[in-house]
Formats: sequence, C-alpha cells, structure tokens
Amino acid sequence: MRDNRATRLLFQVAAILFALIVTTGVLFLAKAQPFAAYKYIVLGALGSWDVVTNVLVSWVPLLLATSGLLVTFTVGLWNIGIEGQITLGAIFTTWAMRLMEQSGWNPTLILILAVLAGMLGGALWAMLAGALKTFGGVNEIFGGLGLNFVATALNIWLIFGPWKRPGVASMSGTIPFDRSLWMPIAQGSSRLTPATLVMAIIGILVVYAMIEGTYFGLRLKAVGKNARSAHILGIPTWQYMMSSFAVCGIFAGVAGAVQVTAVYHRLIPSISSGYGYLGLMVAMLVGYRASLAAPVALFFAALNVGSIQLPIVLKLDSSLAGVLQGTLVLFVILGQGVRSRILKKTKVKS
Amino acid sequence: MLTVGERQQLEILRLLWLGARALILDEPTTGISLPQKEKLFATLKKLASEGMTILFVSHKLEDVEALCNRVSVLRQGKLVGSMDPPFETGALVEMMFGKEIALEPKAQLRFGSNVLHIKHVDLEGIRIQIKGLDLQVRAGEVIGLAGMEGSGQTLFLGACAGLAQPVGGSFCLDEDEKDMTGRTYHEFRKHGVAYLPAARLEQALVPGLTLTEHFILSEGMKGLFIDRKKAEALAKSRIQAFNIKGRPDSTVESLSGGNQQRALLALMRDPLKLILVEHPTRGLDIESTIYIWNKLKERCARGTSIIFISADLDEILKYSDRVLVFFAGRVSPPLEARTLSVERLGRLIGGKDWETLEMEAAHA
Repeated sequence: MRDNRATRLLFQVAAILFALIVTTGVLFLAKAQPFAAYKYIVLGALGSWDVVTNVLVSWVPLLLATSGLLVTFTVGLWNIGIEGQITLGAIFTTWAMRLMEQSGWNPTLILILAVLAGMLGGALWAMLAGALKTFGGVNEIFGGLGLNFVATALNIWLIFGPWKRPGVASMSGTIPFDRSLWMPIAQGSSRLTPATLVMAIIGILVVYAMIEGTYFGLRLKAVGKNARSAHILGIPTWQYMMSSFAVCGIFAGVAGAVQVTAVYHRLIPSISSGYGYLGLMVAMLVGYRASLAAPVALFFAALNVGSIQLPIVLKLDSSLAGVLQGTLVLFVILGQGVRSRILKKTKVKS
Repeated sequence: MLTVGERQQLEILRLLWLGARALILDEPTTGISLPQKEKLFATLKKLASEGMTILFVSHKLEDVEALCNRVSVLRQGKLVGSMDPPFETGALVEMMFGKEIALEPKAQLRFGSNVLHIKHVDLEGIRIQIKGLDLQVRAGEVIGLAGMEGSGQTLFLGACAGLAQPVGGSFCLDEDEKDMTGRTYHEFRKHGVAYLPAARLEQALVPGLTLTEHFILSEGMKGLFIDRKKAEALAKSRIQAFNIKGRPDSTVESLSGGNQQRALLALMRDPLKLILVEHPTRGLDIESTIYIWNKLKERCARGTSIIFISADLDEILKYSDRVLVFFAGRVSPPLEARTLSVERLGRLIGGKDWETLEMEAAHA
C-alpha cells in the first residue's frame, strides 16, 4: 500500500461508513428505526431557516473552542482543561457585565469589554494549567481535568451564592441581563447574532494564519513535533507551551463570553455546554489541521441540533448525536493507526 | 533505597530462584563499588563452576580477563574474533578497534587564545561521576573524546553546552574568561557555542518540518509573518553550499543519514567559537565523512574550536590535536594526538595503563 492522498481518503470514507454501521446497530438495539432517526436528524438540522440558525448558534462556540485547541495541539499539548477555561471566560464576562450593568455606558462598549474580560478569564485559567505543567510537573491532562472541576464548583457557588437571584437561588442560573445588553440579534431571526459569527470566523482565520504563516506558529510546530530538537535549535520550549495555553485560553474565554452574552444572557451551571470536549473531538477528527475545522465543526453542530427533537418524535434520547460523533472520531483514529501499521509493514517488506 | 549493586544482587537472586540456567549481564560492573564487584565476580565464578552459562558483556578488559573463560569481540555488528586464556591484551585491543593505520604527519598548528576554560569541574550523571576535570581549549583546536559509550563523554560534552549543569567548578568562555557556569544552553548558544547531537532525528532535527523551515528556526528570523522568499533563498544557498541532496521543501526525515548530517552542519550559525559534536560521522559513507571533516576543518582554520566524541579511534587520532580518554567517569589528562597510537588508546579505553598515565602526569 502506498502512502498517498487516495489511501488516506479511502480510510476516512471507511471510517465514516463504520461509524454509521455502529450507530445503526445501536439504534437497532434501542428498537428504533435507524433511517427514520437519520431523517429526523437531517430535518432537525436543515429543515427550516430557524433550525439552521440554531446550528450556527451552536457552531460559534464549538468553532472557537476548536480553534483554540488547534493551537495547543500544534505545540503537542492536550488541553483537556478547555472546559474550565470556557467556564472561567463565562464567569469573567458575567462579572464584567454585572459591574457595568448600571453604568449607563454604551451597550456596544459594555459588550466589547465583557468579551475582553472573558478572554482574560480563559487565558488566566489556561495559564494556570500551563504553570502547573511547567513549574509543578503536573501533566496538562490531569491538571486541566482538576481545574475543570474547580471551575464548575466555582461557577455553581457563584450562581447559588453571591450572584443568586433575589429571593431564590436556582439551577436556571443568575438573573438575565437587560435586553439592551444582549448581543444584537439579526433581524428576522430569534437567536442568530451576527457579531459572534464574525468572531468565530475571524478566530479560525487567525489560527490558520498563525499556524501556517507566522514564525510563532512554525516554532509551535517544531516544539510539538520534537521538543528536544526544538530546544537544541534555540527555541525556548516552555515559553512557547505557555503562550499556546494563553492563546487557547483566550479562544475558550470568547466561547464562554458568547455563551453568556449571546446564547443564555446569564450565567448557568452548565455554561460550557460540553463544547470544550466536543472541540477536542473535532480537532482530532480533522487531524489538527485548521483548514478543515470550520466545516467539521459545522457538521458536529448540525448533528447536535438535529438530534434535539429525537426524544419528541421517536422517543429516543438526544445523545444519539454523541454516539455518532464519538464512533466517528474513534474509527477515524483507528483507521489512522491501522493505516500506519500497514504502511510500516509494507516498508519493512520492501 | 538500594544501591545499583544491591539491586543487581537482588535481581540475580530473583533469577536464580526462578530457575535460570543462563545469565546474560550487560555491563554489570558500571556503577557498582569495588567490593560489590568482587562479590559479583566470586558469585558468577561459583555459578559457572556449577554448570551455569554466564554471558558477560563488557568493554573493561580487566574485568573480562579476571572473569571470563572465553572472549568474543564484536565490532560494528560483526563477530571479529574469539580468544581463550591467557588473554593477550594487545590482540584484544586490535580486534576491538582494528589495525593501526598509517597517519599522515600533522602540521603543528599555532592555536589562538583560550576559547573555553574548564576549571576543576565535577559532573554527576545517572550512573557516572566525573571529578575535578581541568581543560583549556584554544581557538582552532580540535579535542577528541575517546572512550566506550557511557563512560562520561556525553555528559561532559553536554555540560560544555550548558545542557547539563556541573555540581562543582566552572566553565569560562573566551579570553576575558566570561563565567558561564550555571547558564542555560540557550545562553551558551548565544555566545557562539553549537551542539550537534548524534541522534539526529531525535535530538537535533524536527521530523515533519522541511529544510527551509529548519533554516528559518536556526537563524532565529524575526517578525510576524514568515518571509517565504527570503527563507527559500537562504535554504537554496545553504543546500548548495553544503551539497545536500534534497530540496528546500524536503522533510528532514526523507534525507539520508549523510545528508541529515550535512544539514546539521548547514544549520550552524557563523561565526562560532566552539562546536561540540557527538559522533560526527557515525554511519556515514567515506565521501560524506571526508566532506564533513573538511567543513569542520574550514571552521577551525577560521578560529573555531571543536570538541567531538567518536567511537572510531582512527577518526580520533586523525582529526584531534589533543585527546581526552574517558573510562568509567575517569578522565585522562589531555594527550597529544601525535604521540598516541591506536594500541595505546585502545588500552586506555579498556581501562589499562592508567597508573602510568597518572605517573606521567605527576612528572610533567
């Protein structure tokens, strides 16, 4: 077997087929009609302009998280702590909004400052994971996971403590902001906020340009592919790891800020909505290449939104999208593993 | 915590208890004390007399002579020969390192001022300790480090680049004796020290990146966006100057070993004060070997000093001005390469003649 585009594509197509077969099997086990389920997912994601805008609303934070993760993956880090970084971004945004709510300032200015606060929150939380790794020798996966729990606990404490609604604290979150402080919604839509779409698109373009076109990105790549050689070539490796944490934290912070200012208009307990973990899956699926991140994130967002109505129409759990996404990632990575083993064998033989 | 020797005893006990009939020991006398070694040898002899087979891998001639009933010499993956007692050290050394070659007489060069001054340095590696090493390296001089792998050369060479920190003593650069002790590798690098590791794809080059990208990285080009045109022009000129068989967009892992080594040389900045090289020509063909040494010698002629490690004694004798021999962390005083022979060097590497060396040093 040769190592070229055709065989790579072959394995990717095979992975998608296998993922569909396994998901279909799961549906049979659940005694559901697989094709009906797929049909409703497609309809649920593309059936009307309204659901399409829902897909886009979900796409924005997912693409932001994925963009950030591409930077940490480039330097060879598994920033699983991104969930906590999104949460901290949301907390800092809410904090800034609460401070400025009564100021009477221009709403646009308030929103800009709130997003900047979110960036700061995400970056600080990410750099904490980075500092634990660099100075404490804590693997970023363990550190990040621990910090995720701390972030969730902090979030819940704020919602049920200092920032609780007057009278009753509730799982439904803090008191919503005044409508004038919501991210502006497009005309003729109920939820679509063009400003956040622009942020997400600029974000992925910035990451693409950074990784493919800048000295900074090239050094990140070198550290990620071989930190020891990068050090010998004169690159200060830990500083670059730390910077990549900060950049990813900024993106996660924007995702959190979007969740607060454009989606929920308040702080809720599950404010990160799992976009961090989903972003990890997207990044793995695209093989850490920025060029494919946007369409694949859109596909994942469509699966998520499309499966929302499954419980109603088919009495199926909406986690079916998760099954499909998970198996897809698994088979793509499995395909890569099998492919490289076969390539190695043919190489040895020749 | 158990010492290396105690852990070894425990391991042997465990294997015996499991009913082992043959023991294979790889350099078992490294990192253990003399009494432990005597105990080990007594045990091994007893086990052998009881019918067990012992395979003993070592480069220490004394140990081999004290313990073994038969010696087989392997060199570069080939069985070169075997010998039964009484062992003749000279013949063993010849088997290990090959026949003496006639060396061209070396012109006595005049060296410049001090480039590196090592004052009474103590180093600690994982299983090796070096104590009280002194050395002065002058501009344009080539120092060869001889010894079996793991005798302390790599530790020493790394310390000269700031990759390992000494526990005592100091490293000074230049005539003005700039104290670099405790500085990082990157500071050594800024002061004109280059380090070329032997494991090219693991420690020196980044697989997956192209030659052009490597030149960008090593040059430390500044700015935000990569100047592709400038980078490619740089890559092209270096590829031509160093006769690398590859294109600017070739990834480094696609190059042959010889071309990877040429790329490493091409990546070095200019000018440099000191070049530290591990095994400059290991695994390379004759053409590449000659080419690489020509390039290194060019640097010397312009006042750069070189310290290199090699397992090839011919290479050590041919290219060094002075030689340091390493044996289990002991370091010989600098020996003039002109006065050395393969035979003498081989005996020193195998741990022989060190007493006379010390006497000579005391008289000098």
